[in-house]
Amino acid sequence: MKRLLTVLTSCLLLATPAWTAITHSITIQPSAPQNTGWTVTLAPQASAILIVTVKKSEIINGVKYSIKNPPPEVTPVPTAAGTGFIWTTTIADNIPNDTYVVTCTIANLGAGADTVKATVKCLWTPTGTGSGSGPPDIMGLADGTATRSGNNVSWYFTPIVQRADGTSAINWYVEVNDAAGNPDPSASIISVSACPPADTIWVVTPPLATPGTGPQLAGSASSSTPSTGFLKVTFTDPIESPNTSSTMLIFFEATLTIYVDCCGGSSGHAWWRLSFSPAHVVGSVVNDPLGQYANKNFGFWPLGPIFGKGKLLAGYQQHKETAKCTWPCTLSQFIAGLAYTRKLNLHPPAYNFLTHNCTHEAINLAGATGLVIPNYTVPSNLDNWLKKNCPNP
Amino acid sequence: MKINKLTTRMLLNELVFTVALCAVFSTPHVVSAEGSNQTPSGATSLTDRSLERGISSLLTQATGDVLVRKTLQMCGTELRIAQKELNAFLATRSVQREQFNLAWRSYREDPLQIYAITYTSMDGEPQDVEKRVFKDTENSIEVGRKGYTIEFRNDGTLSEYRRRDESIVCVFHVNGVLKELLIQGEDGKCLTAIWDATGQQIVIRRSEP
Repeated sequence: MKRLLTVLTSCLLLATPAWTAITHSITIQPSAPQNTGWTVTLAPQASAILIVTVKKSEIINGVKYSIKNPPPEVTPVPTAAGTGFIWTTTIADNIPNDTYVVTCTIANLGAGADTVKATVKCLWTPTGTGSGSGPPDIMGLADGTATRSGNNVSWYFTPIVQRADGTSAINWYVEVNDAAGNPDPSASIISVSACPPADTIWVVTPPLATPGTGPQLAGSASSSTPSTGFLKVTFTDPIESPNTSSTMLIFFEATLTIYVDCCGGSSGHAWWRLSFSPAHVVGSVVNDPLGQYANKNFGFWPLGPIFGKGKLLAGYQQHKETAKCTWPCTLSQFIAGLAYTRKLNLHPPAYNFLTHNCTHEAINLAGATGLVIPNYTVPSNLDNWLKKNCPNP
Repeated sequence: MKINKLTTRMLLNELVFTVALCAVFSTPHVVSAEGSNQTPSGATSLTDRSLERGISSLLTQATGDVLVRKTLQMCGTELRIAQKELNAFLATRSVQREQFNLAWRSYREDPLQIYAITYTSMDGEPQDVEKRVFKDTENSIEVGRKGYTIEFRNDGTLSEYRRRDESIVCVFHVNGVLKELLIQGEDGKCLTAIWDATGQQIVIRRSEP
C-alpha cells in the first residue's frame, strides 16, 4: 500500500511538476564536451528539470565526430544521504537541428533537503583524417605532447642518434592518453609513418601497424642520411565527455651497459645499468614496477655468507670500472632486461663465490636482452672479453 | 689440445681468482660496531635524520586520493618500525662489520628472518638495509610483504623504501620529500603517484600487469 502511494505520488510529481521546479539547461558537443554535470539541492517534495541538448555530430579540424549509439543518458547520482530521489528521462530526436534533447525530471520524495548530481556521458567517434595544427617540434631524444588535433598528428623531429655504421636511427613510442594521463583503451593507433624531406629516406618500423593495436605503439625510424624529418601518427580516438585526452610521442634511446672492475677488492666486480633517455618519461613507456629498475646500477652480491643467499644490490660499492660496453636496445630487449633485474630482486638465487657470482649474473642479464657473452665467472675474463668485443668501448 | 694465448690468460685469471679467494677467507676484514663512529644509541644521526624526514614527508603528503592517503599512512608506520629495527640492530654490540669485495656489511640470521646492512665504508652510514622474513625455518618461502629494503644515497639521504614483494615502493627526492609512490595489487595492477620536490602531486598513473 505504501509502495503504491509512493508510485502514485511519483507519477503525479513527474507528470505535473510543481510550478516551483528548478530548470537547468546545458549543451554538449564534441568541441565542448566538458559541460556534463549539474548539481542541485532539492527541498522535500521539490523537483527539478535538467534539459541537455547533445549535438549529434561536428567537424573538428577536418574530422567528423558522430555520436555513438545508443543516445546519451542522464544519470542522477544522489549524495550518500539522499535516499528519496526518483527521476525519469525522456529523449527527443531533434532531426532538423542534428541534436538529441534529453530531459531529466528529478523529484525529492525524502523527508529532508538533499543534493543530487546529474551527469551526462557521451561518446563521439571520428571518421576521416584531419588537418589539425601540429604539436611542438621534438629535438633529439625528447618527448612531446599534443592535445587532440583531428585524427592524426605530425611531429617534426631532429634525430641525434648516430650509429657506428654511419646511419641514423631513433626509437619512437606513441601513446594516446585519457584525461588521467593513462593509455586510453578507446583509442587505436592505425599507423606511424615518416614523411622526410626529399633528400633523405627514413624507414619506419613497423611500417604500418594493424588497426586496432591499442593506444600504445613503439618502433624505430632510421635513415642513411641523418637529417630532420617528421613522423606522422594516424590514430582513432573517440571523444568522450569530459574530453581532456592527449597524444604523446617520445623519441628515446634505451641501452644496456655492462661494467667490470677486473681487479679491485678481493676479486673484482661486474655490474650493469639499463638506461633510458629521456629519463623522466620512462614510466610512460615501461609500466611500473619494471620502470623502477631503469637508470640505476645493479649488481649481484651475497646477502650474508659468500656461499649462501644472493641479493640484488643497487650501486657499485666503490668499484671503478676497468672496462665497460654499451649496447643499444630495442624496447622489448630493454623491458626483458628490466624484467630479469626485477626477478633477481624478488627471487634472488643463491650466491656462490665460485660458480654463481656477480660476473655470472651480469652475463645472464645481458643474455636476457639477447646479448650473448661467454659464461665467465671471473671479472677479469669478462674485462678481457669486453675490451676485445665491444663495438663502442 | 691447442691452447691459445687468450685461453692461457683466462686460465691464469682463474688461478689468480682462486688465490684471491683464499686470501678472502684467510684475512677477513672485520670491525666491530664499537669501532665505528656510531652514537652511543647505535643510531647514526645522519641516517636517523634522513629517515625522520622521510617519515614526516609520508605523513604530510598523505592527502587526496583515499588509496594513496591510506597507503602513505601505512608506509609511514612501516618506515618508523624499520627505523627502530635499524637502530636496535646498530646498537647490538655483537654485530660486526665485515668487508667483502670493497663492500662493508653486517648480517644477522635468525630462524625466520635475515637482517643485512651494506655500509658506505668501514665506519660510514648504511647504504642498503634489507630485512627478509620467511615462513619456514629452512628459509625457503619468503613473506615478501613483511620484509623490506631501504636504500640511502652516498650522501646519506633516504632514496627508497621498498617492501620485498613490491606491494609498496616509496622513492624520495634528495630533500626528503616523497617523489614516487608505487602500489601494486595482488592482481598485478599498479598505481603510481608522483610528486615534485615541493611535495606537489603532479600525476597519478595506473597500469596493467
